[in-house]
Amino acid sequence: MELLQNLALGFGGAVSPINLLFCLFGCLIGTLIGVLPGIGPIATIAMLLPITFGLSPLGALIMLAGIYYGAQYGGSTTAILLKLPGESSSVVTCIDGYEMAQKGRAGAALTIAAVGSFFAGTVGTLLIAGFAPILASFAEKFRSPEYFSLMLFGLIAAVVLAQGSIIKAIGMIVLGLLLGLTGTESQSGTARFTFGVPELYDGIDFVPLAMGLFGFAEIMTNLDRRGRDRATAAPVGGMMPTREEIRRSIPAILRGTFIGSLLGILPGGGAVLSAFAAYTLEKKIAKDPSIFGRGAVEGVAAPESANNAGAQTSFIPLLTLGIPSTPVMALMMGAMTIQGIAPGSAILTERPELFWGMIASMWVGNLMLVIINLPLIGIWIKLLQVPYRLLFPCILVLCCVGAYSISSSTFLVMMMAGFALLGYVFAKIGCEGAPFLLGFVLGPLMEENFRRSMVLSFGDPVIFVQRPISLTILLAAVALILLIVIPQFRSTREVAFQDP
Amino acid sequence: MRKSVLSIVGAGLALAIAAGPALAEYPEKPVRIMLGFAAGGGADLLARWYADKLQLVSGGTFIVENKVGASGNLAADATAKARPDGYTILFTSSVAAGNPYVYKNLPFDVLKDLVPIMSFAETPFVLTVAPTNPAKSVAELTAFLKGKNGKGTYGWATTVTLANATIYTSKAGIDVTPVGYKVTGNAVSDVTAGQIDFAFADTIFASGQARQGRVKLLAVTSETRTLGMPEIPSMPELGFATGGTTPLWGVWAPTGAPQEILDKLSKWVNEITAMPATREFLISQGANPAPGTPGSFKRKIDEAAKSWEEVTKLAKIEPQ
Repeated sequence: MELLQNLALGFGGAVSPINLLFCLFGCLIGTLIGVLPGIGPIATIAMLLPITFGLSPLGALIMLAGIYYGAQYGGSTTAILLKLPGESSSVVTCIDGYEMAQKGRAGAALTIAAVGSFFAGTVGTLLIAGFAPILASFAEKFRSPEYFSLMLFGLIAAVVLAQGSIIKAIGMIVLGLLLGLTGTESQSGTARFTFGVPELYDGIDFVPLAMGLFGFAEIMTNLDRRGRDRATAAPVGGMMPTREEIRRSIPAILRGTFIGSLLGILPGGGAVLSAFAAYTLEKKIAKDPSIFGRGAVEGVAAPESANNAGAQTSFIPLLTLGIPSTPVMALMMGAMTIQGIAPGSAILTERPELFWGMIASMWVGNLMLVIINLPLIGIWIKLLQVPYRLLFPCILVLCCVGAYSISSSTFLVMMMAGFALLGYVFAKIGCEGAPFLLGFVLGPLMEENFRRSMVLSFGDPVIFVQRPISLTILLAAVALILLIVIPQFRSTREVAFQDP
Repeated sequence: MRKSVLSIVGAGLALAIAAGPALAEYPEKPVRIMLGFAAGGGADLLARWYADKLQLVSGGTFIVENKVGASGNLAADATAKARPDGYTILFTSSVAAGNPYVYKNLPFDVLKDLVPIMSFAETPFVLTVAPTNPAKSVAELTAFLKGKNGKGTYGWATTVTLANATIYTSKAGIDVTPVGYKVTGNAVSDVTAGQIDFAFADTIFASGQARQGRVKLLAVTSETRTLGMPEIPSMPELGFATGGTTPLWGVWAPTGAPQEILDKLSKWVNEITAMPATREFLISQGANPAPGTPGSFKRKIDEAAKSWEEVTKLAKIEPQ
């Protein structure tokens, strides 16, 4: 009952004409920057921050939050149509979404992504409204040892579930891991793999890496085979998913939403990890994992739901504890501070209209986004009919602008070119990009938390099994390894990993 | 707004014509303010406030350009290599003077290639402990850590917080283990959860956490108490002189920029710091206003360089 009253208070603030306008503006900008590769919500929110000085606190927060989750919707568009992660969290969608588009199911993929995101956004919002404090105290139990165990579990899952040659998969993970270790080490401050280049002291940026590896490499491969096939663009197809696609998407959306909501709460979790985890789970439980990477509808539905659920629930640590769990949340905290609001539990008691107004606006925003996005799909898929010789130079220019804008530096543009070459080589020798990215994302987190746990325990590895949550995750990892080792599972695995 | 800008530009034009074509009024074209820190962060908010007010007092255009990376060294390097005509200036703190002791092979010399023009604000850090920690003062914390016989820990995420903790622990003579974090917020969160004993954090984040009862604040690193939290004692007041390690933010230019322009900038910056609105803004950001006199910023920077040389030796930091 109290919840309903609170929500009524929230909707009272959120649906005022001016706040609806802020919400719409945020969602539109978010969709736009989500679609544009390279330009992400971090840069956009940062640039818009100064103009929120003069706005009302609720209006400012509604707009900035709209940009963030709007980008999650928009990001899937470029991922599905062009194999370019429009937003870093949609990098996983590139894999199967693009394959669906190649088969003429682009419209269906976009529809499923939008509807899945809307469902996940709604659940995420309800979770914040109903259980934010409980979820936050659960997230607080995750400290360095738990993180290490979780990342280890993720990496093992990546190996167990990789497609094709397991040697290649391990090789790719290790390569990603090594590149992920570039930069300043967290305990000793030692610079690694920097070759004295100051630009590398903070590590390799994810955005140029993902754009080069996926988008650019795809363009090169496309140009490579243009003479032989694909004289015309990919078939367009309708925007309605088939009955079969709907049947397969619904459970995937539910699972993706669950995983995304959970990982979103964890500091540093957020949207990218959620999407990866959801994809891995789908592959694990699928009857025929070999369909993944060849246009599996679950491979779009689950990660797209997960990244949006994660985007919503990542607000929980900020709103309840005053701790920003991702760079975007750090910016939201900056926006609150400018408005004289101290993020944390005090918002709920001192400024209930603000807290509930924001939550109500998240749902309104998600509704707006699905309304904006569904009709747009018809326009987006026409993009596939644009002759490739006109399309790809535009994509290249957009990517370069995006990479440059990250730190006003041409260094990242050059780095992106380097990764494009690497991605092309990967494609030629039949190595998957996904395990590489997973190693790149998880590796440094795993190492950082491992080192920190060991320092905290004064060098005693028992710390990882003394703590119940960490122990549970480690046991699950052991179970995963047994999956490969035990013969009866091995036979199923071999079916799963048959080379095409 | 537009009218006042126009009239100032008009006045500038009139002056320029009166003085002859050789002495055009600075700034006659947009001035780039290089900033080595991310848009939306604390440093960025300070820079944007000053950029905005500089437009007001000078009538020219000032644009903040975020060139993020290597603890601000990329922006400093770009400024050092820019044409010294006053149209590329740098916003950074006294921590830049410590960077040569943290990074080897920097492609520029902070003390030779850049000129500190004028300081405007100091951003102190606060010593935080868990609310469950029995210590209610720095002296009690020292006793508590001594009682742990080398099993005490502290969190650090930047060279500044590492320096803060090193100064405290070495002067207090306690043996504690440093634990590295990527973000100060995570270190403070581990303080709350009782994973580590203490951490230094920026005032604005720490006071937000303290208001929720998630941490206790024992001391600030500023020379004297910090305006936003007058009840918290300062480390120097408790016998832990912090030297020049507390970040002192100011405006810099490449060496060789015309003195005339430096004088103007220094006058404008002081004018802005003296505005009541600026004072209020700085306090809300957890900073202390720090106006100076000609040459005072330069002296503080030289002092900071010495402090950093000492503290990096104490912390056994190897330049990377």
